[in-house]
Amino acid sequence: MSEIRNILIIDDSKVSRMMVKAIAKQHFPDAVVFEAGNGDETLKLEINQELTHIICDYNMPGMDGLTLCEELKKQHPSSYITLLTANVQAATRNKAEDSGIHFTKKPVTEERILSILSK
Amino acid sequence: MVELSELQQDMLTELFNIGMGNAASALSEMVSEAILLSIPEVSFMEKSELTNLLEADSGGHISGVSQQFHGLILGQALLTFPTDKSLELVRLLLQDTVPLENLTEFEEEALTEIGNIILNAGLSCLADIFEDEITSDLPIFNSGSCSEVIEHSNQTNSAQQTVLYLQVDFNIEKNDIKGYVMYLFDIQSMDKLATSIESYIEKLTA
Amino acid sequence: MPTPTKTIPSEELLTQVIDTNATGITILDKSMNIIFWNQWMSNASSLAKEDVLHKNLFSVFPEMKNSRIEKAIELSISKGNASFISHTFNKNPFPLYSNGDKNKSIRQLTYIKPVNLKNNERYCFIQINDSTTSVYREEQLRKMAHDAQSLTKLKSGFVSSVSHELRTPLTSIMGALGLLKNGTDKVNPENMKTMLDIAYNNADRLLLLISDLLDMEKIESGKMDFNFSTININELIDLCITQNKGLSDKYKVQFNFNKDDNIPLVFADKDRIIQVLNNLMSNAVKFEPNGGTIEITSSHENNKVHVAVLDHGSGIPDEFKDKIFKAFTQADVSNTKNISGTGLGLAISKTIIEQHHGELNFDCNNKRGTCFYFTLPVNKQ
Repeated sequence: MSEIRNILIIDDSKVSRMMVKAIAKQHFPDAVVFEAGNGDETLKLEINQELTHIICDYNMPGMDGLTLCEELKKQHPSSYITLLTANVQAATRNKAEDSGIHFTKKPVTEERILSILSK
Repeated sequence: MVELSELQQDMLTELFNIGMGNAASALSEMVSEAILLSIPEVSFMEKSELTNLLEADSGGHISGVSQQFHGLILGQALLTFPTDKSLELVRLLLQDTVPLENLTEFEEEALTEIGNIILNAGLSCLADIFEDEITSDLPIFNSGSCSEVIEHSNQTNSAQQTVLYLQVDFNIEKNDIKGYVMYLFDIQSMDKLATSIESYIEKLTA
Repeated sequence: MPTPTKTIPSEELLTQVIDTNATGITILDKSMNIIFWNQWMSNASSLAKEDVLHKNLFSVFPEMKNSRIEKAIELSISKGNASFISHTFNKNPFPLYSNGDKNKSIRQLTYIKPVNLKNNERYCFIQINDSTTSVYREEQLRKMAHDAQSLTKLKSGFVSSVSHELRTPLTSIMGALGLLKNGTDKVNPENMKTMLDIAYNNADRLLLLISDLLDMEKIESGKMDFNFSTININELIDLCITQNKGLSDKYKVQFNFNKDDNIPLVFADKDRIIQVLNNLMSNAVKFEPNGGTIEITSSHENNKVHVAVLDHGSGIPDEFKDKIFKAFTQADVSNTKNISGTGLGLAISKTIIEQHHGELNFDCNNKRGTCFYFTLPVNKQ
């Protein structure tokens, strides 16, 4: 797997970001990882590269993950965007899938993150 | 008293958020209504402090659901609401507006079931930290003054106890209801918990 | 020496005790196979021990797959957590019936608990309590609370309508009297008479309103007294036509009475029936076009006396038909003759007739007017 991976991780939990980042770096040592703790921070990031993957927590203070992902979809239309959440209620899920946003259940596991990054 | 580092605090909050997310999905399925459960903060405190805090927040009368747990650690799990809030929560979930002032038998049972789901979800999170099993007993409904409810649900009766305390926000149909989830441990269990949290974080930062 | 009593109860004793227990008890092994099934479970499920033992619970009850109970059993076996499932949220309870009668589902409180033996073997213990009776009792209680709440709402709605209705004529009276009091010397005699007429008419209306209100109150509290006697309805209709002559002349309408000469007698309160007839007739006068004739008919069939009052007015607006017998509802009649009513007449009339075990209702064809009719049971003596 030699493709470039530019990954944006958004989660208000630092531990959660660390876990995702650790898994990504372990399997893709050349990956470039951007991090943000909430929606506002994300929108302030200066990213000059094409993002290949966006992994975003759903339940965050301020803007919720789904609204943020819909916004990011406009800015990075070719990214593979995944919403990470323990809140697997049908209403949220349908809304995400309607906007072309993928859905993965928390907690963060190696298997789940790898399956996202191999897309 | 346990002092948590910023990372440890973050980890516990995240773990319980995942647990409450699972509980929320189970509750939503039960009542066919979108429910959001979130936890602003997780903290530790002494039992005496807890009683004061609940008293200040509830105006005195609370309703609660408790469960004993055992295994690697042992203690009591407790979910409480100010009594008027518990009425509000149950009636939102039952989509009912009957103007009775007290919880009826029905509603007590419904609240016990809701508490059971939430407390079990939290216990699963704790078990994940230990990578071991924490078994639980059947839930019991209590209501009364704060100290009555806490003492009644606290059957191990160890003098010095630490409480892992989380505030839970229920968000249902635009209503916001605050409840409190508590796990009361004895000192030995508390030590085990602290060590487990530490090693969990160490593994991650290694 | 007497033999010391055994301190450990035998399996036979335990099984008998659990079988006579008034709750359902079953035990599953960790593959969810049924290894214990007490007599209560057999009775309620109509499945004997032999039918279910060593079978998977969900092959016995496939309809319970993916239910909360299945999840709770899984949680107890895999994680050791106990669950309580109230009947309220449980969409897929055990298919259990009281005395095996399929129409009598048992409302269930379900307790699901892990049991660990010393050798670390795990089982799942399920206890089911029958809460059908307490559910029923509670539903009754909730219904009563709900009814009481509706009644309170109705009452407070009534009070605010009443206050409004009483205030309107009183305001007119006060206005007229106020003008007279302050400016007697400036008012010419002609205007003075107009003022007095306004005050008098409104006082009259107030009196009518208050007596109707008292009637309503009596009806609602069940205190309306009836003075029954044997009466001929034709005589009462003739009497009421005479009583309403002044009104009908004033509005240039006539009454035509199609009399059933063989009408049977009824057992009724004369004054109350006159009240109903006057109410229906004065309503008809209000709606009958000038020069028209109101048709009143008496008839009888099937042990019932039937009285109908038909006017040729504009009929009752559709949106108003459901509300017509409720207190304080009057259709907007501003385009017809200006006869005021209290808005209570029809509500009172309907109750009076119903207290006589009769029926008061209406047929309405908006092009041909409205027919109000009532029935009274024939006196059998």
